[in-house]
Amino acid sequence: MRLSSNQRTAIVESVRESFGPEAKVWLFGSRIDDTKRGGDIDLLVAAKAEPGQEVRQKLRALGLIQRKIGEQKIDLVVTDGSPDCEALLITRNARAVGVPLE
Amino acid sequence: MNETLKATLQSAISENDSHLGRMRWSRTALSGQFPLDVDKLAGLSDEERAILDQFLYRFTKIQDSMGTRLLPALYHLLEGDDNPRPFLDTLNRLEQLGVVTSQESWQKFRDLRNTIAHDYPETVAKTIETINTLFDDANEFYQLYTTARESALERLS
Repeated sequence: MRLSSNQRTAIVESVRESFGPEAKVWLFGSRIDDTKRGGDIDLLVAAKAEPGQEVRQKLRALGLIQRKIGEQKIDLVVTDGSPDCEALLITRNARAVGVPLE
Repeated sequence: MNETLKATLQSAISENDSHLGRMRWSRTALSGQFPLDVDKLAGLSDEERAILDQFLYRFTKIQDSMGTRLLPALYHLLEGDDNPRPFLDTLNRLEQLGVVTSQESWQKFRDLRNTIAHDYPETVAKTIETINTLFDDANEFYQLYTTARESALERLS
């Protein structure tokens, strides 16, 4: 994967600070391909967001990540495990090919 | 003052004032429908949908214009420096100078804009939550723009 150890740590810490310590993060998209260059950072977050607060938690996570690793184009998809979220093609793809970040 | 810079600032303010006026009008016009939920969204008339589109469109236009024109031109003007630099550094300095209310606030609206223009389709519930968040925080966004606008006008007068 094309993320440094510091970037991975910054992402996981920021996501857990925003969504809670149980939140899990996967990297998917072009950044899992070592033969490519650049590209967006595509993340799938699995977390039980507070009702009506998911967008704010996501904005908070993005702000924290960018403060730590600099401004990057980050796409953060959140699933709460519900059938609606899990049915989205993007969630299914991320779950199929994503690399977990610890 | 550099005439090109002056023209850029004047043009950015004029453009954004127009967007802000339409954004505020559309928010007021739809205020009875907020907070939106799935049923309310489905029940909007074609005209109300068009107003909602306008609210979102005008917001993204101001956000883009501030990031690409207004704030870089203000930084250039205040610091006498037009060398390429990370945008977060520019924001930091503009916050110190009182041009940007807060870097966190800027970043939040930047990410909100990106979420609205998202590459990936989201569930309807998430789209509604995003729109409600912008509706609730609109005054904070007006303040962000107005503060930068006042700074620019002070330098232009």
